[in-house]
Amino acid sequence: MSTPAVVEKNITPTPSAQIPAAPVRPVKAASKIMLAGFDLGTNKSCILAGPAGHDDITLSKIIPSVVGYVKEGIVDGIIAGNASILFGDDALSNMLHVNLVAPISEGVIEHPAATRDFFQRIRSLIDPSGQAEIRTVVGIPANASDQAREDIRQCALGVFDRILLVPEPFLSALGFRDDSRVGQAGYVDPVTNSLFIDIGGGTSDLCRVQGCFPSKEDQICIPFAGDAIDEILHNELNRLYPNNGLSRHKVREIKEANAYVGPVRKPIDVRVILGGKAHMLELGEALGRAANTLIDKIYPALTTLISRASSDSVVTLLQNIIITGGGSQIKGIDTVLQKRLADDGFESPKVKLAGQDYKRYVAIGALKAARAARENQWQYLLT
Amino acid sequence: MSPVTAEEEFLLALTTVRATYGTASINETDLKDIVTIEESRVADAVVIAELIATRINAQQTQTGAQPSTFSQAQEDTSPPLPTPIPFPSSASTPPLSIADLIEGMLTQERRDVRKPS
Repeated sequence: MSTPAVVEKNITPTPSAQIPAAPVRPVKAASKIMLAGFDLGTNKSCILAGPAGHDDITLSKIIPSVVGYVKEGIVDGIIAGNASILFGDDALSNMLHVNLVAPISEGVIEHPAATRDFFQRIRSLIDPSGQAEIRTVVGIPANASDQAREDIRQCALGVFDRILLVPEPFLSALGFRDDSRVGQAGYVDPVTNSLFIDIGGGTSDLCRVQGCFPSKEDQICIPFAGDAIDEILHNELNRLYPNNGLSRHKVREIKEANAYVGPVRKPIDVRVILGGKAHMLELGEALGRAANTLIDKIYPALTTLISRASSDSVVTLLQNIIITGGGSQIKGIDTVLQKRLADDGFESPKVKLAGQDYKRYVAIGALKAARAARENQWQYLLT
Repeated sequence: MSPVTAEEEFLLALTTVRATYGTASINETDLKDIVTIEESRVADAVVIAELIATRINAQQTQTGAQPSTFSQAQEDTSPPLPTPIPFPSSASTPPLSIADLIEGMLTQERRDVRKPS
């Protein structure tokens, strides 16, 4: 097990065998402090940042969580600036010329070296000068293990200066909170009594937020989300249309455009290019079957969290079930969950979608947390 | 008759242009790129507005000014977000401080560390 990378100022960490050694940045004089909210997602990451003590947002970016290492033998000029590592969209658009590595899998670090490179890239976006102190709040899955947390800290070592790891569904609630209305009559803080369902790429996180920081009892993380739907859909496509040659990336695109839950919708004709020729594939049943699996996974967790709520709070809680994350874009997910709750006898349930900003709520919440954190709440990252 | 949504209005405009200038007059890829850029622009604006609203509200509270002007304007122009249902006991309690919530998280973490595995 690796040595903890944080908290005690006088402890010098030893990088684990799996985590690459932290690069040593020159010691800088106390300079500008930049605060960042970082949603480190399995497929996409979102970063918001601004200087401490100001409301300015100097960076607001969604980046595919992917690192591309340029293959050997690529001639000069093919890759812009002859870069050896590409990130996000640049890596994806040069897929032919790079070895693509996804640093994160099911919400936790899978490739530490790629994660560190990804963090370095994020750092350079937050502070191109390389001189500022960077403090970042990072969203983590609700049930992230101690090792998963430690892996993030180890990869952040030498890249960021201070860090706070906060469960993603709680950050979603903070991000969703309309601060300008908190305290006003008629508006009740969603942090007061709500249940968030954050469906990402690697995990679906459910979290009951009832006026204090959620305990482990209030959170359930399911390792089934967008990627698992992609896999089911891909297998189904291979069964229906053998040798179709569709990449996982293309399958994800098809899902994002057409996925639905509930009764079978037919026909859903999807145009794809196979062997250089255009074909129309009828995917109504396959898409429904794949996405409905998500409902079957989420629903028991949802009812478990509801059953743990006190009798005083459960009626209001049932009216504040909010779905966010990429999964909130699956057609019909709110109505299907709400109907299932109602059919099972739950009292007037209301399931809502977080809205158009679903990709950014975790990062918004993380930046709010970064701006509100007290000096002694930050954890130091020591090189 | 229900009001025309922005999406319906857009589709109507698209149909008109295609009918007038031919189906090849608008490139699908260009159109998708424009929509993506504009969605991103709107999302950025919403994020910035949300974060700035916090500080403006805090300043107004400090100076004793009524926050209603800004809040009302925001209510009128922001995209429809789900409104949480009031929780009966909350009206009398002060807004929760994020720093206190973080403190709660850290306390839990310290307690978990102390627990024998």
